[in-house]
Amino acid sequence: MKGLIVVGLVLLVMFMLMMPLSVYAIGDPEGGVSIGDCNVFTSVLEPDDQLYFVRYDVSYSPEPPEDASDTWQMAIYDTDGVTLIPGATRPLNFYQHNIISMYFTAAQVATLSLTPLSEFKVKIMGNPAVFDPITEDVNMQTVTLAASDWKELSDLVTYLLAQAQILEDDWPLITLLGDTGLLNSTGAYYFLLAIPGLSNFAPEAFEITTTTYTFTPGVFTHDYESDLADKKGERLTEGLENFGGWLGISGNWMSFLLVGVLFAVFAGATFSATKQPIIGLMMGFLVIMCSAWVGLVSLTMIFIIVISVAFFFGITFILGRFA
Amino acid sequence: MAYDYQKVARLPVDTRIVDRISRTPKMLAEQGPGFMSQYGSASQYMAVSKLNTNERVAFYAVQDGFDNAADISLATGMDESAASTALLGLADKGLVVGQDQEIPIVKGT
Repeated sequence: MKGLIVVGLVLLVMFMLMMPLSVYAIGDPEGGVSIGDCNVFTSVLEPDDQLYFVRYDVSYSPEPPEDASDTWQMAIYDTDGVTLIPGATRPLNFYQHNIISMYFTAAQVATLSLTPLSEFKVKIMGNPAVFDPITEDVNMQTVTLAASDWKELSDLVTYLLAQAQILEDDWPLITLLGDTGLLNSTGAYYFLLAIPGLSNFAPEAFEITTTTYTFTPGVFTHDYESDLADKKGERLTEGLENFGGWLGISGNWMSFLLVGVLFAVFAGATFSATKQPIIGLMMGFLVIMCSAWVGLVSLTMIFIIVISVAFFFGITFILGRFA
Repeated sequence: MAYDYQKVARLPVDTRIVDRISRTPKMLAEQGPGFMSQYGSASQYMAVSKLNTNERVAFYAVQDGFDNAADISLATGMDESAASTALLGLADKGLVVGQDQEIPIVKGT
């Protein structure tokens, strides 16, 4: 039994040794780490949200084989420089000269107490799980936000296009801006990697972009329709209700029936006098409009009738053309 | 010295970006005709990006016609023994090219 346990333990140790482990051999960047620009934009997608943007250079020579997202990150610390804002880290997409950002919704801003104009510390740093120790100017670079670093949405497009120009000037023979001065598909691809949702923040920065259409329904009170309905007065309303009750229909349907009869009478009489169907119909519609104005039939019903007639007329007219 | 070799030895752009552009026809088309001839294939660019700084400086110097350690040292300011080591490193990696051969990577700005 004892021997069996020993064999089991040996097998367990051997199994653990055979398990793949992630070991990073990455060193500090030979050319150092620097931050070119760091700014915060407020109210970019909703009131009081925040977008932190950094242009950095993690200058390796040679470039390490490890993915930058495993080894380097952007982080935001509180004004004391030692307290990490909860959740405020994001892996870098690339080494060398590039850009990265972090976005906080208004709700997150409130929860994390990200007070605008605060002197937060924004860092581009090695991942603490990979680099030990983390040393300023060696494998970390920190900037302290000044009040002037906080910007409005109206500055965003001009700012980002200027950043694209800086990168384009530094990246030999790589074009990020098109002839229009806006981000071409290459620029759009890399800027969207750095700033997810940018096409919604600043669609004007792109030559070609896809944005989500936001529909905000208006508030309709039907006040005017109610005013018109009140015009027919209590006596006529009561009369229509009683007459409708006698026929087994509601007062509204009784009104509609009455207007229909009036339409037929006036349209028919006009047609008889003029022998012109168009004039007859026009007179009929005049009766309907007058009925709406005195409150006999609701405006909604009128609109439904007009749209239906226009629709059927359109179909008849179009099909008639190709008959 | 024709230009600052230490400065051009810097890698301004991540090799993954060049790789992605070279594999995406729409992005490649936007770069114009000079892109591929200057960068070479993505694999060439990656090979150069994996050189250490001395090797990359020596690589550029060799492209400019300085083909021995003494000349490279003179042109770049690099120690002669370091230049010699860098040349050996380039030879090992098969990256020493003559002046008349195509330059596989553009120099940085």
